Amino acid sequence: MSATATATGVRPPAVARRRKRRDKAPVLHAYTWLVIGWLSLPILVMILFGFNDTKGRFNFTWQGFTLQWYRELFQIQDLTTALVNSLTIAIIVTIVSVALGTGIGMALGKYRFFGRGAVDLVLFANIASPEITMGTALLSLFVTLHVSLGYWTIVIAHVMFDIAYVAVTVRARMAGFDKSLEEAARDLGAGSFTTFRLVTLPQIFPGIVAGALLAFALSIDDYIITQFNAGSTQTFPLWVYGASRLGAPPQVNVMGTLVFVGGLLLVLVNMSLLRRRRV
Amino acid sequence: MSKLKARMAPYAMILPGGLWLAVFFVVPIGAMASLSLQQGDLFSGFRQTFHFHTYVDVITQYHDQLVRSFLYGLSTTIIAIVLAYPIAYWIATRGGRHKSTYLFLILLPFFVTFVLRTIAWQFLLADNGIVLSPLKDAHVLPADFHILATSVAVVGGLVYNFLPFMVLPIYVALERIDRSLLEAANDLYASRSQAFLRVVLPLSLPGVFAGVVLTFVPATSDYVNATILGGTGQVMIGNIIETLFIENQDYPQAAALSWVLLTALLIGVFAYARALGTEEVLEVSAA
Amino acid sequence: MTRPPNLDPVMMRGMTQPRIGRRDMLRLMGAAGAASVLTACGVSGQGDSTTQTRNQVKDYWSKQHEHGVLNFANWPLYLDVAAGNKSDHPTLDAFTKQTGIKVKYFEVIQDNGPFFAKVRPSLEGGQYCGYDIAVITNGIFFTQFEALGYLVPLDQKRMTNFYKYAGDKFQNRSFDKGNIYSMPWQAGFTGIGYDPARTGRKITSWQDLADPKFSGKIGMFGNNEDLPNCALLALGIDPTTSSPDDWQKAADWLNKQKPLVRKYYSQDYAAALANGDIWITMAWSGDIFQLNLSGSKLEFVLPEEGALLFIDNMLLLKGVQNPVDAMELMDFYYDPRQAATLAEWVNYISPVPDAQQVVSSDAAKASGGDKTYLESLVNSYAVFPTPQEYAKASLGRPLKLSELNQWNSIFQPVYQS
Repeated sequence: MSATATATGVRPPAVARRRKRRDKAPVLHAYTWLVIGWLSLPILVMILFGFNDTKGRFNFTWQGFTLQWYRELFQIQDLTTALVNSLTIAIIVTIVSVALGTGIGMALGKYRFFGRGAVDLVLFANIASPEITMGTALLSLFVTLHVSLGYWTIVIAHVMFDIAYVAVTVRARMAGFDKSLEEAARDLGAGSFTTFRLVTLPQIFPGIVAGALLAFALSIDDYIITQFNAGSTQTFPLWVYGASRLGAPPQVNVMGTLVFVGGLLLVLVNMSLLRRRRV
Repeated sequence: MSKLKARMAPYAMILPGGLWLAVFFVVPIGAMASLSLQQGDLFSGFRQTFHFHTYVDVITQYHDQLVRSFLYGLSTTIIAIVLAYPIAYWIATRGGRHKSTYLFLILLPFFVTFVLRTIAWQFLLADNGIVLSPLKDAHVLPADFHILATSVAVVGGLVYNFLPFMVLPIYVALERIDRSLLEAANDLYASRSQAFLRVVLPLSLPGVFAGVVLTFVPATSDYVNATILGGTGQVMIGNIIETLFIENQDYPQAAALSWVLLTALLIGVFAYARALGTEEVLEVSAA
Repeated sequence: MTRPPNLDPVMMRGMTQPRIGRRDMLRLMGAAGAASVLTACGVSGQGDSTTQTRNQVKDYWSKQHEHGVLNFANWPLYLDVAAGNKSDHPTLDAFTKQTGIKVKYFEVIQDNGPFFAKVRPSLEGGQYCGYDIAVITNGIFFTQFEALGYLVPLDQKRMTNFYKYAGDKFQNRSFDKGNIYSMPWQAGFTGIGYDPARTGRKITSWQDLADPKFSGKIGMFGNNEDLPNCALLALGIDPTTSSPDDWQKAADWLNKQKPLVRKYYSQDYAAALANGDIWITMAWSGDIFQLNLSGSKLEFVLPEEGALLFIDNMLLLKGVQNPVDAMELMDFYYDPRQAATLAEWVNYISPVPDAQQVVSSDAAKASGGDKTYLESLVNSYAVFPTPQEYAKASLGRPLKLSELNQWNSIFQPVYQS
């Protein structure tokens, strides 16, 4: 998932290509497309069966084309609630974890200080810990403290696993950070807030955007940690998982399709913005 | 005064996020350690007894599932490296202007909920489904051939779900290689395979290692793929932890098993990180 | 209404601190419930404590009022829906029209275990868990909800329809004697579902699930209630009186059968059966009935060795905010008209025998496809079983909490490996 970051913030190669004629490596080219095809197959199935005119409870044989499920998209109240929960949670989580993670990322990228190693270690452990462990551990805490599970425990959990990703993404962006610019701004009489807004922020902004996208994507997709800390609040993945046991209704495919298209647009817009900025 | 302020600056920046991680990540992991050394049940309550034997119990009892999970995780990782490296290499070296487009296509699955993707595979691979049915009708495959409910399905699902985690870091590492090094190799009459083996491969290894961390950990501890695509004999350690926690409410055993999984994974991962320097692994994985 | 659990202090103490001890626990149980716990714990009952509890329950109910709202947690696809709109539930509409109480309906119970895990932190902390009514199956989790003091004794005065219309089997349930805590919602059989076109023969016995001819095409339930009890039945052992030795025998039988089993399923067995991944499987009656409605040609049998009956029960969770409204709703579903509407949609066993008459007269009024459908319901094992069919079914081994560990450690390794 860290991927979104790369896709959006690719740096130009260190040294421009010099060799003019290169072989196209046709076998590898075909192979890459083959894998892309394999990766897209389930998505096609999902999109296709959102148009399936299914009659019974199960949506796994093709019974003709219909737009009915798009019209009746919001007819299953619980599903709609679940999707709305997923979206609002992802937004809140993104904002909070960007705010908290950026601070850590900047500190790590900019300063050498006592305790840096420990912070590093925690971030790394957080990223490298299995989801089921983090989910059950957090649940143990909530159970011990008699905290009711629900919307806000999901938010807490998601922020917990998102901070590290944001921090690491921002820090990676800080690698080429030029401190002298900040000093210059200060010498010219800018206050620390103005310096941050006019000098620091623009430099690390791509890192923050990448971190935010990553945080959003991780949050909206999470199943395992959410499952343990959701109480009876439903999110989209939880609802889909439950429904799939009985035969998920076609609206699930439709919503999946819309989330897919939404995510696609978001990234495309971001990519074109970045491109324009670079030019 | 301002010097002190400057020295405090990093702490001030870390504090809010650091507190969050301390309270909701570090403390719970510690709380879980304490829970794993308690005894009791829901009705009489749990008491801290430092009963280390629970660890022996869970390891003996769930030895098979532990080993299986690590084997699945390992197979997933190796297959993912083999599948991902050529793609990453091709995109990094031949992607030209379309590099980000290709990367974007590799990432497409991430725009669909993990659960939905896995369910789609269940549908695709059904015994009489749209993939197997034509092959059976054409007598390419015997009528009783099936993929679902086998380890192939589970590992396949894991590879599918985590492949992009492998492609990206390798790509980033390859992308960072200074082209002039290759030219230098060329100038020194290295053959292309020599140049690849001596220059490209070693320099891309940090990416591979980052990919290993990002693939091996979630694959080993996953239970959704095993539940949806697996069958008898494909139960993974994640399934067991889930059952112990949710069905049995045997919190000490669940916590102990979680700890066993966590330490086994973290020791492996930290050993990697040590060999490479944490910084590097993290940076490549996030870049 | 502002303070969540509006209970009197003594009861509150019991309810929020179930760990304090057996005595306190008794306080929060209903009279008969307390008595049964006493017996379970091997303590002889004390007359005065029972009367005291009974009075407390009365006292509690005398202070409750209708609030006009209600939160109802149920399993997915377990309530009638209107033809055109899936979020519209005719029986709930009827209830609101009759009583003015608005019902918020949540399909949040995927399984008893996960639901228990979801609400436990709230219940344990003495907070309202968000639901007044929940539907829980008889068995381990029902026992746990009760033993932990998470259930609120019902107001026996608000159960008129229930005592008038509920079938015998549903008024006398071994797991809730005296109907202290619950009223059945629907019930069903656990038997065998199969596709005759694929098995090529009639299935009659649990032993057919161990027929090597079906190797790799056999489905079993991966849970610690249906699976063990069915294995006991397969060996001709009466589950209700089975001993740990019998459990071991059953587990041995299951382990021997294991190589033939494709997967230990949860509710997803139905899709697998319908699409041919499996040919024969342990199954719940209502599912097979519904699959056939959507075009499958499957059979459901109550095996000759006996089947299992499961009962899903409506109950009030501790901290309940709208207890009076909840009582009204529960009793409302015992009105034969409502019970019939519900049964016509969910196709599980109705606890109201008189609903059969109503369905039958609905069938007479209907025409075309609806008519055939309703007629098929009237005489279906899935909705209105005959006394002979009921007689074949057992509720399974009632487990004491003290037996749970042993039971789990014998049976869980079977399906968790």
